[in-house]
Amino acid sequence: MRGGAWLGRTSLARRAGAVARGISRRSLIGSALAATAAWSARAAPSPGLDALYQRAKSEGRLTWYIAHIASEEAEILGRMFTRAYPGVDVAVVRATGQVVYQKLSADLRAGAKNCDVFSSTDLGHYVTLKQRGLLAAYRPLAADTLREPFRDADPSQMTQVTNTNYTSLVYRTVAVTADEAPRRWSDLTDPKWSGRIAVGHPAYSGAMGTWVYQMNKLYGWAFFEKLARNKPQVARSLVDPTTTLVSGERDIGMGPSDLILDQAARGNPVALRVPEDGSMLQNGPTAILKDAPHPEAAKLFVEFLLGEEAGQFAASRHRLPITALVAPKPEIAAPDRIKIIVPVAQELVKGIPEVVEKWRETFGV
Amino acid sequence: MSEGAAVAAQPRLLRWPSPISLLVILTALAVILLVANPLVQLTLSSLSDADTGEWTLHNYVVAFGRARYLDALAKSLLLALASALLAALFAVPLAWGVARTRMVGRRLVHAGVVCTFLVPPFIGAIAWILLAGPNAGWLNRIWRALTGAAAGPFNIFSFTGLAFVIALYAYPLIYVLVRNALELVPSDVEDAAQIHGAGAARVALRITLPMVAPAIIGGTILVFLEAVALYGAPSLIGIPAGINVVSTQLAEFFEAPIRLEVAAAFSIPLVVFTAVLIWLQRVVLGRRGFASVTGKAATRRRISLGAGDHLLSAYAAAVIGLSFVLPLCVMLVTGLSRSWGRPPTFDNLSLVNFQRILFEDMTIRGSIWNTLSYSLLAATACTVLGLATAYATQHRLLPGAGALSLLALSPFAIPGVVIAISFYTAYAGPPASLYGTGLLIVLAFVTRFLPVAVTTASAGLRSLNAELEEAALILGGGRLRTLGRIVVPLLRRTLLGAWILIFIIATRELSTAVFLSGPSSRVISVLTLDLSEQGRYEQLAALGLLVILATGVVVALASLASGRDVLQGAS
Repeated sequence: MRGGAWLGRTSLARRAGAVARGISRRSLIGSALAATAAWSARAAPSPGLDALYQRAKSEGRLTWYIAHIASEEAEILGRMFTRAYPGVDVAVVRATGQVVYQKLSADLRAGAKNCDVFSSTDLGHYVTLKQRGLLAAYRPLAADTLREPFRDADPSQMTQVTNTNYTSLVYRTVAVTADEAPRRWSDLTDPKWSGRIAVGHPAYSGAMGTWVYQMNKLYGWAFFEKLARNKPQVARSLVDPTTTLVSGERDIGMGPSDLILDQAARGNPVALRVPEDGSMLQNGPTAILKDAPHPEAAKLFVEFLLGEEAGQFAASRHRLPITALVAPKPEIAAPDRIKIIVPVAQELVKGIPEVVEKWRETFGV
Repeated sequence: MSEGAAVAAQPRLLRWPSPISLLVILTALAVILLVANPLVQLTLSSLSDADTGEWTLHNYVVAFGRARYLDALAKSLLLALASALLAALFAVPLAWGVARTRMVGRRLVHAGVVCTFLVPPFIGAIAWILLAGPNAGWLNRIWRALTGAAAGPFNIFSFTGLAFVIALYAYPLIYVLVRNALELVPSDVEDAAQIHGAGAARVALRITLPMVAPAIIGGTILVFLEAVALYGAPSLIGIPAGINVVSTQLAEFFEAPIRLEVAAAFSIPLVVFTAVLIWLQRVVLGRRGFASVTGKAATRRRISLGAGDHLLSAYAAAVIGLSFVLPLCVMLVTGLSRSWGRPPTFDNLSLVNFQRILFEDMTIRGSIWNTLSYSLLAATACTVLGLATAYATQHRLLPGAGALSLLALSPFAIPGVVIAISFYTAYAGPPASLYGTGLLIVLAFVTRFLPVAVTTASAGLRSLNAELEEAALILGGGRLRTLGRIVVPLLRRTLLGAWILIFIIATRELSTAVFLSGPSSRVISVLTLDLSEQGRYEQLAALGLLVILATGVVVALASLASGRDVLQGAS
């Protein structure tokens, strides 16, 4: 919670919010919590939001399939939501993008309505789900408070970006100096890294699938044939390579920028390297299922994910907040200062399954 | 079967609509719904087009049309063979030592094997990643510190590593069967050999072990089937090692868009293969199957091996050290640290992982509860159904009793992932619409472990003298009353033993649960797999310890209640 002017503004809003909702809520939450900066109110508690909360409360709960943040963070957000909206519980189902999509597909095929809110890492999922008419359109009450370019980014209002970060290079500082560390993605094919690389698996992780698609586009499949010769340790989630580096099992890899910065800030020996050939923008969309068993609670949860409290949490975890009401940490590079690879959802629909198949042929698993 | 035949020769006691006839019909119906229907649906699904529903062999063409898929099949069989042989190598000397010799510390060895049995294979795999990760693994780090070498010798992410881990957490199965069989081998044959001048080793190899060969081979086949079915260790160790096996390949077919029909086609040859394997075993060994013999035997004496007593103890200590002590230590250290890659210094020491699991993380707490309750339910339902099936078939209370028995035993031949897929095919969607419910998982568990209950109950029933039941029947007690008042009380210990065994294996079951659990019906094994994707071994280790502790407590309570050793007789 470092930073100057913007903090003042939020605490003002917080106070206004607390006054508006009266004291009863505060006593429910407990003084310890209210005292911490972590707690903050919704930016402007509108009558619409309160009415939504009432309707959500009668549903009592919702199920959230979530891939785009780590399980620990997903659990924290779920608890924060229930603290902000007592009486509405969140069942957090966290797995990698393709695994949550597999779970959703298994639900749909069996005709089981389990999932309310779906947050994947593979943009292509949403193209398919939209085509099949499985998503509900909802323009959030918070839409006008969102940062550009996230405000009304999807004209159909069936998806909202609720998370954004970059896929970047990471290296273990006790084994690799900043000079030695790879500067570009293409450096990963250098034989000197043989046995020292950790990567994710495109069939499990949506972000990894997107990355493989983009690298194939950039360098052709020869890139992966050379990468395979370097015998990388293939984990499943894109979260895993960074934890593998922290453990000392491997020395360089790739991961979500927020996670790398967070691990470094905790004193773990890893550092982020912005790749010269492009950080990959990894937007995490969230959608409400059309047949959601708890549609009102789902809407309330989307409001929460786009709201100020979630924004502050994102900022504290080294991400760019989706809401314009919270400023990012200073070290989060503004998008115009680094080279960015921007994936196109439409391409990923067919593109990711194709590269997954190629990956399996090249890497054997 | 002589008692059964004698009873069958009596006037038919089963009259409709007696209570027992209702029970028998319900039993048959349950077995058909649990075993036959999913298998039929699986077969039909493998032969039908995904979109049109028309008959086709296309799914088989897809399932076996790619070198990678065939390679997975070959790898799986090879891996299962290696694991099974290795497990036999671990188990047989221990079983022999505990049952027949004056090996030092026999009770401790037995306790160690029981403890190993409480460790789910996927937890064991996590512990071994921490121990033998090629760079960060503790064994390699210690090796480097001691020798000054640049690299350690162990790499868990390899075929050998995977086979080793599977064997380490499967050998208790062979141990149970072989030890129980050895307990029954009388000493006189051994004495004869010894009188003729054979040494202890020669007696063991030429006389004792051949006598329990059915148990050894049966146990090894059981481990082979377990290894084929395993999903957790192959995804934790196999994927980083680049090893694709049947279960991970089936998971691939289950990725979105789900190719259920192809998955079914891929499963069918596996079912056929294992069925042939079991049939072969029966042909070779006679009709002894997996049933252990119960009853009292002639006098038995333990043999002394001289210095070998200590040697064997050392071997047992090594096996248990590798399977239980070392993994437990590394999980304790890891579970108590903030970051497992860093040395266990004070600033790295923390209870935060336990705190998170026990007090913060709702998902984990919920799934611990699910695991325990589903396992309790499955063990109970399975034991009841197993007894009913065994009773109905042994007393031939219905036509086609033999077929019913065969059907109830057939899940032996079906890998857990295949059971999951067939249950998904049969019961996930309408009309049953069980997907995402705990019931679906409990039912799949009951099916998977039904053979254990049936064989145990059959063995128990065979050991009962028919006179007792006949007396009750002649005195006018109905069959149901006889069952409830005579048979069940007499078999109380056997049944409780089966219950405990099923409870343990249910808590560690992953492959059956992985495709059947929904958001509110997740079990620990599935959640562990999801959590393991992110490499958070500190939390996983803490979770593993709690799971072992929780299972241990339930098992200890049940053992106390039944006054019986956990791993005795129930096989």
